[in-house]
Amino acid sequence: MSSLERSESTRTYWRSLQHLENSPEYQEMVAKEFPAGPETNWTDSSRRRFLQIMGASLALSTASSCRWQKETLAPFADRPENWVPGKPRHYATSMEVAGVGQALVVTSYDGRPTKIEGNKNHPASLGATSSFAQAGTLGVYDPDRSRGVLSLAGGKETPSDWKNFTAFAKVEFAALKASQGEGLAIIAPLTSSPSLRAAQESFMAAFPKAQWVNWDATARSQELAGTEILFGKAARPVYDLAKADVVLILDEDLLGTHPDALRNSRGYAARRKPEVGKMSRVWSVESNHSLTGGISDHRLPLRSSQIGAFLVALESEMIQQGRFKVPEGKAIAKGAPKGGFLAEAKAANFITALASDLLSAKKNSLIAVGNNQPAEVIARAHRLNILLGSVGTTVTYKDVSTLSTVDINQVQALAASMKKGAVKTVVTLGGNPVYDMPGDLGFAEAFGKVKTRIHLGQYFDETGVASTWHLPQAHFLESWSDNLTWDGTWTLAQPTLNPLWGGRSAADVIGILLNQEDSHESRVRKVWAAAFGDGETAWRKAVQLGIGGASVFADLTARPKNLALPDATPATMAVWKAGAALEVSFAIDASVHDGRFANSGWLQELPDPMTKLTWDNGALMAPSTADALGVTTGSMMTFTVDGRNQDIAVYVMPGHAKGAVTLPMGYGRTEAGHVAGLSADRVTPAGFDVYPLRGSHALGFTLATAKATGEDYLLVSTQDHHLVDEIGMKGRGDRLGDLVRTGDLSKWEEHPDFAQHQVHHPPLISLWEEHKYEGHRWAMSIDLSTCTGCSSCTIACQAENNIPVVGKSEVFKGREMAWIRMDRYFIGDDPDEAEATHQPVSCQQCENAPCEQVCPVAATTHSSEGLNDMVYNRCIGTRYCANNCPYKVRRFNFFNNNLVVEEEGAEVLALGKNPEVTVRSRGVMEKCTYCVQRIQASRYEATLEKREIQDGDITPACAQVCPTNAIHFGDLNDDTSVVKADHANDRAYAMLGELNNKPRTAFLARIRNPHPSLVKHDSHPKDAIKHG
Amino acid sequence: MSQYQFPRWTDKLRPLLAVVALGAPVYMTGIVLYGASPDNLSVGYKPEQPVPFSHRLHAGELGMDCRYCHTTVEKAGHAAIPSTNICMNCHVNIHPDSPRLEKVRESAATGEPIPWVRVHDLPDFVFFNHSAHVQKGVGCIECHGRIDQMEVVEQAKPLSMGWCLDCHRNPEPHLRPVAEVTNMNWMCEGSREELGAQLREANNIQPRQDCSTCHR
Repeated sequence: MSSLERSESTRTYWRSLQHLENSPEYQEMVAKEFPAGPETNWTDSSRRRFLQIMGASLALSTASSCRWQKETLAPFADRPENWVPGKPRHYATSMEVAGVGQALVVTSYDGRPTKIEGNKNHPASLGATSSFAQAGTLGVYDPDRSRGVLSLAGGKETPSDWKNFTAFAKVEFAALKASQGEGLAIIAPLTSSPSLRAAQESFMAAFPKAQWVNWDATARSQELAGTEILFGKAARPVYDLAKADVVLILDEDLLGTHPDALRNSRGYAARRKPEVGKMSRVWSVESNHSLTGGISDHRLPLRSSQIGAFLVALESEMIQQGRFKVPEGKAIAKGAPKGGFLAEAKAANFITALASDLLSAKKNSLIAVGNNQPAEVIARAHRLNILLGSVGTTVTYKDVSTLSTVDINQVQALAASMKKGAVKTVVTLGGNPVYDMPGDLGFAEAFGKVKTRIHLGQYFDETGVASTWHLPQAHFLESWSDNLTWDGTWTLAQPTLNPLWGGRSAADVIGILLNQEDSHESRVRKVWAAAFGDGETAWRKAVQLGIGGASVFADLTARPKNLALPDATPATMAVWKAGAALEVSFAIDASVHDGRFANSGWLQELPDPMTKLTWDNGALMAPSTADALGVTTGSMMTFTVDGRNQDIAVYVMPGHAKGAVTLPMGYGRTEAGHVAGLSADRVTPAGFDVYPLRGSHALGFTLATAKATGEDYLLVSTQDHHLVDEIGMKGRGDRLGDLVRTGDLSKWEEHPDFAQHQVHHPPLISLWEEHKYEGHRWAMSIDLSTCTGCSSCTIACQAENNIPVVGKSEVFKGREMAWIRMDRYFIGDDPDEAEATHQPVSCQQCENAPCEQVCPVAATTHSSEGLNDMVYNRCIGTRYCANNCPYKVRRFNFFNNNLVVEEEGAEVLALGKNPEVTVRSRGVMEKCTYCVQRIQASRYEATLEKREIQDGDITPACAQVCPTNAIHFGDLNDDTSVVKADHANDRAYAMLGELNNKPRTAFLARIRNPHPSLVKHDSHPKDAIKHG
Repeated sequence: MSQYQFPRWTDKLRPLLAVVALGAPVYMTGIVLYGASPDNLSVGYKPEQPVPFSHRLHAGELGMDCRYCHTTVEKAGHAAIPSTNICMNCHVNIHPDSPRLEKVRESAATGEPIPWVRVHDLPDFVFFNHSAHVQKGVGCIECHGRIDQMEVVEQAKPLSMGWCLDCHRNPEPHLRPVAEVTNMNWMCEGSREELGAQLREANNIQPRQDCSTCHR
């Protein structure tokens, strides 16, 4: 069955291909709650040894219990006014990823940043953050960060300091200045920072003959090239999904890895609640099965190279359907492209329905296209926006011609001149080009031919190791800066702690090279003052809010005169057949981006939103492609592009385009650190480096051949972890409903409460007298209609609640510790056409909690407000509670995962812990608390202000970070609360409510809005039986 | 050598063995419970401080209010150990050369903190909030005892969970008018219970006994 002609009657939800097949592995996974017991080192010891240890520990415990450890307090010698010890302070700041700013607010306890949130007042954040920003507090305290200047001349690592480097630079750069910078090259990461831009200009004024080359593996250069074809200058599309009735997304992860994903997600969510206004309809055509594909109403998997032909076919269909004119373009004049994938009914129906949908939405339509596409295809897609009249409504084009860009020609030229030996000195201002340059440039070799190689970086990474000087770079939480968010809002960054290891920013290093002594703060302020006028009050206000000023990009409102495009390049129309070359495309990874976040344990362990892979990437391909190649998940394959080989493990991804392979970037790091791979300490790299396969002429996608090596590799995916045992439930017939419930808009219109009526059961009677809740009744609601599955809630929870990282081998055993997991389900019977849907699951805080009833030591008890409290100090680790939890949300500390902070050099990790939450040790059960520390903080505040807690005062970490506001929290006893309204919503259902657990978390069923012509109308079989 | 034999009279002690066997576990349990009880373990802890600061002099004889130094006690979880500059507010002029204040002057000059030794040290899994108690009229004296009479501060109360719960279950005898919180010499006129009941009503005091009140 195709994904288009979905019939509700056969809709099944499955977690993995093993689940769909109900394979023995899957059954074993379901049967085992916690695989084997914890490893112990008792096995070898004798009875005598056992008694010795027991005796010694008894003696020790007696000795140590006589008096607690003497603890000293260190108050300020001169405490700043209004500084209250132990009270969190919040600072607006920002970080920059691939040249796009992200506005943040940092929570800092006694001078230590411990949590990062989004900046509510900033248009590009709206209070949400990406997973990358959430992991920033782990990043700043990463023990693997570079701790000092290193001189590597002559292949010997010598610890040095900034003074030595400054002295060296003075001589070296004085000589270079004499030759106006001949033979000098700067490789800078892409940045939008106005102050860095100013520093660059003064540098280039001093060294006019120097080569300044920007490089970022994820730069959106194709998008700039594409818009330049249309507008005559580089433009940036800023989307407003809240205004769009029909959204077409072409090969783009608009709500996932797109730089403006936060705002796009918020806009998307605004139109996805059926009770609030007209629902939008999202169509996506893509090669990878991305998060954005998962939330789409209709999805057509196509290879990236076929998107161009798809667009032309769509245009011609729109012309045929009438009242739509496309300016000259011969491919269309000749008639529509035919054959190949367009001959398949599925694609044809998709295009017909989509064309009529776009034509009826007109200016309320929106077409977004990915940066992996060729410039002409991007131009064609945006031309459609112009022709449909949506510019100014759903999309605004911003003039970004003044921004720094990555010019691949310059990069190629630099590599060539390095190879020739024309470059004598190279300065890498952050970034890691030796690792992430396209493989065809032979960059590492070229880099080695330069005499003086200076590297500024947070880590002594691949580029650092290959340099002659390594300088530690300040983390974004340690330095002043400024940047522009996607929409051009001038955003400021302030340091929240002094550089831990004496790191300096790129602007500081430029200052050293220019022999200037400006502080970075004064630079940032000077550039800001030039744009907005100086004034102490205004500056302080800007720093306080984090917003320097409104968008600095001008809108391109004028319609381009000439909308004609060259002929569409003949695209590969053919449907892939076994034996043909594969098409590999390179994707930004949801966990490590392009590799820059690779050494973050939180991010490595965060399951990918779609593949649920942890600690690895893989070559993602469709089930039928894998079958044709004779491989399966975990099979190693050698991929070859233009003679460059790389071995990568296959991951079979339902819903992926056939004949295409997606390679997430950023893995296989050899010099990242103890998390992602470190050759010196023999830490095996996490995942596979795909950059060797990337070509500088084909940064998006290219053709490759692949051959199975016959070896297998262990890929750890959490997709089958924490399974709710459905096998046992089979016996009860259909007394139990689906865990995740979705329905079409038409069904919702007929039966708004279909989700509640999926299962009918006799009246539920409790065995115990039930609690009465007279004060607060804390509860949560999660709207599956707006949840995109981005998983930033998981990371936010990890940061807020001091949740440890356990490592790949422990994750393999199902021991990951995340308190809120993101379950990803596939829908449909054909794995190649599967749709996806997500459901975040954390402790449901049951009123009749099954866990409480089995705890032998009352370590998990019920609070008067209905929270299922967990008392770590009482817990003796029987794990009965986890066994009895129907939602599988309890996590057990099989090891003392926090012992790492006692390792030499890793003590710094302790600084990042949230002081409001107990750090758990071995043998203790833990789980979601609804962020009880935040509830308490609000209670104290209300007490101080002599008032009651208001709705909205308390926001758990997961709800706060959520880009779509899908999670609400509040008091069910408060009639005005949002959460009460959500619980009363027709779509609300209790997961496994049939068990009479009375969960406090309500899920709101996901409503899809398929095109009427593409749905077969059938009612749900369970409804058919039960209803009426 | 022949084997040692117990003399015959020891046979009479045999019944005693049963008493020992029965009594030992009781005794052991009792001694451990007694010895490990916070009443005996923590009360009276009186570490030597780096500076011989006298609460008896400052809070007692001079009658300084607790909040002059412990500035954040009403608005934050921590009462805040005073920063050196608070000491120096007065000691710039009073005993500016006293050798006992050497470390204070040094700290003020260098900016290095004075390493005060923590007396009231709750376990790390316990989260206590001063403001919540002070705002509701729980006097300093209830947990800290007669600080104004201590030359060297010592722990006066066990600060054990049972002790905390005693008050959370029955707060009336521990309440006083909020204005009298820091007053060590406050005496209740009339019945403390009755006043407590009135104050509880007036200040909306509902001490919670949920685990998550203090543990999280």
